[in-house]
Amino acid sequence: MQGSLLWTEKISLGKIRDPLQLAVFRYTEEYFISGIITQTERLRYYTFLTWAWTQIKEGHSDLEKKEIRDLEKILTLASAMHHMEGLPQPNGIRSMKAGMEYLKNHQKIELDKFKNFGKRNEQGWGNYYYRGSIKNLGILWYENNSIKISPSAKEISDIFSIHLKNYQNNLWKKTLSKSDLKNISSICCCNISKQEQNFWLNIFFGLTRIGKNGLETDPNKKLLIKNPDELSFEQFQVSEDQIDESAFDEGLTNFTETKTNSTRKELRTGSLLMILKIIKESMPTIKRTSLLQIIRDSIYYSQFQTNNSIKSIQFGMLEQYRRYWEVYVHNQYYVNVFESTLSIITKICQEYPLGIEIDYLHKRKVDDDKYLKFINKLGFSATKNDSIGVLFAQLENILKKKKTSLSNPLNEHKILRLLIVSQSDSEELAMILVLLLLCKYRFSFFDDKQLRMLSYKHDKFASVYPENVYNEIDSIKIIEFPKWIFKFIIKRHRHVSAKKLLNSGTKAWLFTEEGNELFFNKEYVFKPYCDVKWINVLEILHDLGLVEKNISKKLWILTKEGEKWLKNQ
Amino acid sequence: MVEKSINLLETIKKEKNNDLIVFTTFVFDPIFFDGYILRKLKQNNPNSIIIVLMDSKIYSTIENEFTSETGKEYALIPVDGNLFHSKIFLFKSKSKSKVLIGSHNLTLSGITQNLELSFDSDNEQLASDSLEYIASLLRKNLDSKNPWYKRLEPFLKNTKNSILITNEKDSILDQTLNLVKNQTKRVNEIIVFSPYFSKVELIIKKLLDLNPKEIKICVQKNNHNLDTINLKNFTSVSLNEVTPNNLRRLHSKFIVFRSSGKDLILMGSPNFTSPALLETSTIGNYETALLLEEDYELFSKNFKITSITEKDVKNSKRPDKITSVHFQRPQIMINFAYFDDFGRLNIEYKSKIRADVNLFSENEKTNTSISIESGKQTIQVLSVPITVNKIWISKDNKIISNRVRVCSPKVMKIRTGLVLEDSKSVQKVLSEVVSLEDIENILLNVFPQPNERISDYSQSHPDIPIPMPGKHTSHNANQGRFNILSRLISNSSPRNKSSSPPEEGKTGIKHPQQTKEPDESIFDLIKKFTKRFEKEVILKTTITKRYSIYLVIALKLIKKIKTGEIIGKTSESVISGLNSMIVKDTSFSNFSITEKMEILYLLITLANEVEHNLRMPYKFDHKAILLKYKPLILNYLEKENPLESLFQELKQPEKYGFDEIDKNLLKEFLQQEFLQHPILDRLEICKKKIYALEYETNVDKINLGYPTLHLFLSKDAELRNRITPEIRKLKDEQNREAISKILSEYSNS
Repeated sequence: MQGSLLWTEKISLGKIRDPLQLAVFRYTEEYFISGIITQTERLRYYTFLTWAWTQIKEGHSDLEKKEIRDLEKILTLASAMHHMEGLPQPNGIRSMKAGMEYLKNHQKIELDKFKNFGKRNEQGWGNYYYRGSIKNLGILWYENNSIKISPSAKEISDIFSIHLKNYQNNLWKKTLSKSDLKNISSICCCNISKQEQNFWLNIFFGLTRIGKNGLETDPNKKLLIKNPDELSFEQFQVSEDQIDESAFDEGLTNFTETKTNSTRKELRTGSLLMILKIIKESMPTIKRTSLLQIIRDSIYYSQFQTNNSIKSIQFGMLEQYRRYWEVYVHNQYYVNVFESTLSIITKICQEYPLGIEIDYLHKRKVDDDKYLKFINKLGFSATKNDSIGVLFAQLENILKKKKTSLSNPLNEHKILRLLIVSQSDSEELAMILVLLLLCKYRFSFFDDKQLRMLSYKHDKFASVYPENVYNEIDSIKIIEFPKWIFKFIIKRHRHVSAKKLLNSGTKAWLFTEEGNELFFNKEYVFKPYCDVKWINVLEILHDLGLVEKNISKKLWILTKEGEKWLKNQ
Repeated sequence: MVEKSINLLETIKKEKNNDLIVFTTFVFDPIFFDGYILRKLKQNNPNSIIIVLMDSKIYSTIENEFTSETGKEYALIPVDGNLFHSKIFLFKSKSKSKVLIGSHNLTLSGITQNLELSFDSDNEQLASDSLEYIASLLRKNLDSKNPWYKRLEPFLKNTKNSILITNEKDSILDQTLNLVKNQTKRVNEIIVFSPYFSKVELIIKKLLDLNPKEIKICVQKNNHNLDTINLKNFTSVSLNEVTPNNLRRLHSKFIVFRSSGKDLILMGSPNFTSPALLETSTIGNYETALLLEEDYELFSKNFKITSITEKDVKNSKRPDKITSVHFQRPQIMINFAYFDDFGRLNIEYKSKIRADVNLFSENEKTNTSISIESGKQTIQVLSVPITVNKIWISKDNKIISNRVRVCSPKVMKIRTGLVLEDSKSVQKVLSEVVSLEDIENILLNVFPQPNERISDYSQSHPDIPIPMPGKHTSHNANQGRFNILSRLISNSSPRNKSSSPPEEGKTGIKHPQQTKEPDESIFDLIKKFTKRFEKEVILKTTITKRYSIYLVIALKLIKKIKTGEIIGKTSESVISGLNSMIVKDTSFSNFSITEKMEILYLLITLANEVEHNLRMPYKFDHKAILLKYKPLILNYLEKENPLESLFQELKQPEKYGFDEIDKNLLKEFLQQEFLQHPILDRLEICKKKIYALEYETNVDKINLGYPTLHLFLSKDAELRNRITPEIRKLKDEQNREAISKILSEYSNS
């Protein structure tokens, strides 16, 4: 008979990012600190790429767009040369080690032969920066196949040209000698001039205006923070489908400073000052995890913990910014509830490669008695027949209707910690429930203005919109919660992966479902918190001369300049 | 040959321009189907209806996975009866067929992850067999007038199943064994693989009829439920493990019959269970399979078979499910529910009881009293809003039916797929217009709307009463749809994305069901349609056949009118509309002759409606129309027999379901066209005809010539006056007499 008997192919997976599509809860980063991205820590890239594109635009070079990568190679090699002889290596320079290696082995520098420059970096990172952060700052962008430069781009380009002295031509060469490289060592990120710093301080802190040809610095403008309550959050009303994690990280969301919309500029100014305030008060350690926790706690609780003591921060005028960022930290904990559950599901699933019944997931892994015991150990008195609503009422009593704080042992920070270190599925599920209740509790303190941070357009199917979830859980029995959350997360992931396939063709299912059974595909490793952008913010503030690392004490501290800026607000 | 593999996802995605897509499946994954497959199918098959037949027990367990599209944007039919296990994917258009028959469910796992077997074919016989099987399932579950079934009917060829093995009448195994016996001399070995087993000993006993040397029972460890207790007595049975080349869940099922020189493979949906292989669907499952001649060596390249012990089998048995599907067939089994063209909720059900019950709906929270008859029935409920999502029936506060999604009427055809720039597409779509829904779909293409679908529109305008049919008469029932059409047509700001409802004062629309008789409502509707069409569409030269769109839609709407007088009045207003459109349209002269003929055909059809319904002779007096047709018709006037030539020409265009035109009306049109020419030209044409008849001996030509003179002279007094002196000049006496007679016939008129 006409036809073919065929075995079916297994469809291989694509890159899985954000498997529950929760990136929308990180949107605050993009909206409040636009222009700073997680892909770069160094201010020099902002200057260098703006200069390079301006030169190309003004005809000083006939370099093709894709050849911007060669300029980046020179930046790396010149920086490597600058730090070859004993100087500590700067962070944030792309492929620095490879650059040093290349210099050791080659006398003549041939850019085409310096190949170890990022596997996926085919077009040059500059093609991302100008598209992302530099564009969002309103400095330089690409429109109708041509580069558009603002007066501010011209200004920083001129500053940098002077900085380069007479050695600019070296930057356009394909083949260089080592002495050529030495002559342009000033392009290394540790050589940021005062003028350059001032320029970028003006940009990042909004001392700018929109002129006829775009953004320009405004020498007459004074540092001023606006009350965010008075700002429009209209652009927060995005659909959750529009939010893509990688777009955030690379600053590819489509925002530019305009005359009519300066909200982002105002929000960035306030937010940067808020982080300066936190650094001033807390002098956090430079160790990433502790640093981020101090920032998080300072925002969420107005408290931070050092050496077993809890200290408070009074934010003064900046309190109006902290309030908004508080919603962002809530979102961090909230997202952790779902992502940690997803991780548990894939872990269990992995043990059953030929399928596990969905209802078996919790029955197999959660011991009802132990689970209740873990909950009650935290001060609750829950029974098997109680609903989550009852448990929530107990939580309100325990916390005496006051906001959670570091001083109270029942707080989000602590519960998440317990969840991370837990070795038992029953305990993990207990902590997930308590964390979700704490989020719900904290959410109840937010006012309408703050809730504008969550005004995104949510997908109604398997909705993770906090209010919906908080309402839905009330009537569920405490011991039914593991089953409910497993089913909810499975449904959400199935929905999200179907959407990803439709929208971007990405095959992103960690598991598939058939006949109430789950079939494993890929493990999801839970990583708590997604607020790493603060590191990039601090590094940029460092290059701007506002904060510095006290190497001996291993602390971040405010510089005198930083004190001045903070005082002037 | 099982050398190559099939990417089911890509295969489904690549299917284009089908008219009918049917999936049969045991398990269904609405999240994946609605989120991805449905969208791709809609995009690539805009004219197709989509039907999914699935197991009714599974249907009841996946309700919480239903998206807003599940069972609304396509027909999702729970098959009543025993376990429905068939797995057929069928794609059908008038010109081609594609069938995938296998072990794959319509789920993400089935399509992308499991190791399944699929027979991929464009064999017409297999497609026909599959369609017959699907039709038979629909007949068992649905009313014979069900519109989805009706869409399937034209594809049925009433041929006997000859390739597809189903267990409607005989068991799968009995049929298979007969086929194997007929096709092979002696079976040496039988290899069985299945993830599910039951009453294995009974099946083996049957297989032993073939006297094989060995029966290899194969399992995939941790993916089977084989109980070996009853196998001990069979000496020729061996236990084996199947290991796929890459660790995948084997969900395929097969029985290989190996004989010298020929291997036959039974593949498809049946597991190695008694309800699948030994029973008919009256007692057992619903199954579909194929027996194929394949090279086993090639077939088995994807896995390894090794012998294992009974203990291995026991230890690797899949644990029993902790959640079995507790599905007790309800007293009333709702097989399908949908809103028809008139906004009536149609419920097709099978009931064990006859009772007065309550019909509930989920999102609208309605509660309507209805009477249920026993047996297979259909009930139409008039007072349920079309936004209703899911329904069920209860009696004395106890639910006594299953809960089903209500299929939306608009999505039966999804969208028309009308490509306004493509004349073939326009012609095809217009020729298929039957219902108001079809008209709605075309209008959605022609007049861009702020909202994609009318249901969305009504949802976003809760303040506007949802068009509801009246309770008792079909006239009133029509109102719902007319009201929707009226809103659709009256939305004159296509670019306005705001969702504000049309204001009565501004648009002049009144909700017809509240104020007017239905026929008058249609009259109003067509007037508005004409206005908007004239304003927004007619001058858009990119829209091909735009006059045909206007006239066909108008005529189809006119066919819904019951009162003769209003039919006549409305038809006249459509002709006036056409005249008004043509006046402005400078591009009309560039139309092809075919297109002009099509418009003329539709015009005369309308004129016929006027004449017939107003009971008075129609007179073509719309100047613009006559003027625009003047050059074209002149060619016919100069022909030997203008009327017949034009009449024959008008048989050529697409008829769009309308009758042939009335020749008398065409004559009237020709006469009016003739009168549009200056008298000297008319005289010249007439003279030519007269002189051509001088001494003519050909009877045919004589028979054609004088009626043509009748056509020219009967309504043209001026011509009659001018032609009289010419007659005197004629030399052929007979000719002179004949023409004089014609003139005297009209001398007093």
